[in-house]
Amino acid sequence: MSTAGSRIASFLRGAAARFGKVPWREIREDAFERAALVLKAACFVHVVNAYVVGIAFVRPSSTVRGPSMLPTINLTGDVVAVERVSPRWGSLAVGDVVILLSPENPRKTVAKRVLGLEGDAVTFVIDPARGSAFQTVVVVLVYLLQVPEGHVWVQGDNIYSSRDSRQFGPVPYGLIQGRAFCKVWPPEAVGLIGQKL
Amino acid sequence: MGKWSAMWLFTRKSVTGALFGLTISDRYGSIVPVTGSSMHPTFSACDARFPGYLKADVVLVEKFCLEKYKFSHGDVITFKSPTDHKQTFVKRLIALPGDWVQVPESSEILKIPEGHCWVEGSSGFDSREGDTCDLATPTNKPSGKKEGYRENFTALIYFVTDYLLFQARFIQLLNLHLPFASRP
Repeated sequence: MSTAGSRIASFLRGAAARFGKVPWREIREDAFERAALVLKAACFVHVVNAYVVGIAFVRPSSTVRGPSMLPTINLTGDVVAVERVSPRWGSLAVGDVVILLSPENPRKTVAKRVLGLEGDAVTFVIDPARGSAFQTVVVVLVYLLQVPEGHVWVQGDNIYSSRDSRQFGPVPYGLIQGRAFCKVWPPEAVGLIGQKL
Repeated sequence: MGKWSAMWLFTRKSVTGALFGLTISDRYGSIVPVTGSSMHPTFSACDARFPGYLKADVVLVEKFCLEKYKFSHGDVITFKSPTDHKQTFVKRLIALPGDWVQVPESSEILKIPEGHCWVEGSSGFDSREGDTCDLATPTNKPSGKKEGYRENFTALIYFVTDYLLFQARFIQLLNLHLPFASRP
């Protein structure tokens, strides 16, 4: 009994000694350093994504929004690179493709083309499908209006199936999240997005 | 040599600090001074230019609510002005999407469309009273009564409450543009 007790006691003593020898201080400092590095990297990614250039996935979230940018952005959704500098500097131009928060659901982002800046006069066809179907009888309803201060007029490229400024009116500039300038994915579609009108 | 390395260390530290600060203020919360009198009983007005600016009420703005996007009536929110995206407004949230609102000084009643909301300055002291000139919100003119309320708010909003515990939120504000197709 006594030998077993002393063995246990010596084992515990040895364990305590080994425990005391572990360089806790170094381990703590090292862990802290690494965590700080990860945090710094995350912050850097956030700042670059929010202020310089980011990546956005333009996906067809519903039947209405899906094909709205059809010739430019694919039906299944493309990954585009978005730069945040020109909206911040106010150097957006007519023809740019922008990523903006949907005015109807602010948790969604949509991609549209800017067709008018503040003060521009915009004409648009309300119902292009009807217009082409009855070309003999001209029922193309054309509206002319001026884009108010601080707003932009955005439209999808696929005017037959796009929910855009023709429905919800001009959109405040503050909703614009960035200018899509380059398609990144899928690989066969990689290329710049131009200012096509 | 020692001077240069000290300077290098200082720049590195300040850049890291800026990165952390920007991330926190973008995602979690920030501090905003309130100038302008439209929220008068809640926040006091002050000069929007430099020396008077220092006396402004400073509020803490919380942005966690932007994730869930849940707002309630009476929340004080900050948001980008719909007419000038560089300006930030602080207003009280009066009606949410789907609510019915009577346009002040008229008998018009309208339904707040999806993704929008109705905001006003603090109750009892806003452009309805007639003689308040809002420093921060030039659109909120005392004379253009309808204009003040018909501000076309489709903007980013952060939420702020009355005291120094604030929440920031992200919502879209009132946009009274009716669907264009249904306009006469």
